[in-house]
Amino acid sequence: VSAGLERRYRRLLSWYPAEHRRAYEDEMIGVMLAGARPGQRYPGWSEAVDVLRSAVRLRLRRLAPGLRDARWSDAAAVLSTLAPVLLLANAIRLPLAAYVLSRRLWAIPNQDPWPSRGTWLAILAWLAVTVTALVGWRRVAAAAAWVAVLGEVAMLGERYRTEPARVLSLLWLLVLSVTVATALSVRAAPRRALAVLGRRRSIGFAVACALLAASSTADSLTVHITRVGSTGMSVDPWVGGSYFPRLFWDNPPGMAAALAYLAVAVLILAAFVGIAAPVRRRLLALLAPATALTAVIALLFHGYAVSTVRFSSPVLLVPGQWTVLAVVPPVAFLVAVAVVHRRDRRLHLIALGRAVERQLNGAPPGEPDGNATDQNPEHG
Amino acid sequence: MAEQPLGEPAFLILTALAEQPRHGYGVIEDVLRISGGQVRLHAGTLYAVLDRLRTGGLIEVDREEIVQSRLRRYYRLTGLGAQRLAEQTERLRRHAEVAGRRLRRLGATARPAAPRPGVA
Repeated sequence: VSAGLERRYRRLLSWYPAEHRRAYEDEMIGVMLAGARPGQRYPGWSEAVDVLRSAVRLRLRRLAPGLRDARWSDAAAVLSTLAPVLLLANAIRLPLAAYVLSRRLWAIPNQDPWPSRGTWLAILAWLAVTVTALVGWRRVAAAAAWVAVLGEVAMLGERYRTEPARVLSLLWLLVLSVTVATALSVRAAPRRALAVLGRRRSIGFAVACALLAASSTADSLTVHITRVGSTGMSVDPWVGGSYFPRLFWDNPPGMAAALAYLAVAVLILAAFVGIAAPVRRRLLALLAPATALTAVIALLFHGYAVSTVRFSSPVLLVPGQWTVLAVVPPVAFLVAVAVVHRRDRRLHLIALGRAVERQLNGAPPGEPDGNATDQNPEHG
Repeated sequence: MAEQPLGEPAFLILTALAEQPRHGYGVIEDVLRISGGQVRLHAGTLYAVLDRLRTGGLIEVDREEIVQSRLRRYYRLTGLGAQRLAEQTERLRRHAEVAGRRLRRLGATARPAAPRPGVA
């Protein structure tokens, strides 16, 4: 039997977790080589798929017990309480901007100030999630979050045929909504979020969300209006401003909006930094599906987004592109979980090492060590 | 009925080990024989199931041999494994009997297929 085949089999088996390899690798190699045809040089296709499938399944199964940790539920609680507020603020932004614009600059013909049915649904659903989560009705909040997800899907589906690039740029919202709905369905105890976050930072976050919702009106509130004659008027936007409500990610914002965004970012960052590091890392992992998707879309789909709008009936996404979009979020989550757990193990080992060192050097024999980290290692 | 039913690979692997202790490739060959050439286990599935059965105490390592500088681990059925296999066999027999009765009653419209030649 060729040495190349054995090497390739070993490479295939490297998909397994180390413990499984230690226990079975040699045996499995023996079995696979015994089953190989004379002169075979590469692993068979179905054989390779079988190994990959069982390796991935095993890795997933090992991930699950780690997710049952209190720090994961804290992170899920923070996400499932804060994200709905943020999504609510986001849903309110454009209708609010359109309304303020229509009141203040009534003479400028503008889009219908009343939001579409989809937007209403999003606003109501996220409002329901926010309220029920804060009250502590997890199941109701979860159901409302899934309604919001459905609304989001319907809204994106409606726009897909005419503006696929726009849908692409909004997909992260859908992924974030699904993450929130899943976190609420699984077991996040939403009220725990306020305890994790603390009162000051919770208020800071709420203010940030209110500011975010209001930021879209900054331009129309800061324009300078001068009446010209009896019917005319001249409108001067404040530095960099515009007459029309815009989304943050479409155009560079005007000065007024930029200042509001800056305040929002500072407040959210302040709330985020105050969370205990292990919970914060997990929160980032929960956000990984949405952030990874955004990054992938920015990197791989930029050309598509730019070119599709040039055609009168836009070019739609092909199955391969859909596959990438569907695969990235779950994979990003799994990778993030693995990274978080690996880091925890390392920190745990470092803490253990320090404890041993201290015992060897400092503490006289027989005297208990007073350091809390030694008695309370992160992992049991 | 608290126990989960065994899947087909697990059932066949236990059946293979019910005769005598076997090593991994021996199990694959025997399962192929038992199933009349229908079930060819690959290493990934085989060792996933073996690991699960071992953790569940249904099988254990019988002995290890080195053949041509390769490790061969023989597995054997435990008492618990034999019991589970017996329960599962009884369960499948009951289901198969009911299915057979109903199919016979169905009569001419759907005749059960003739037994495949060469199946043990």
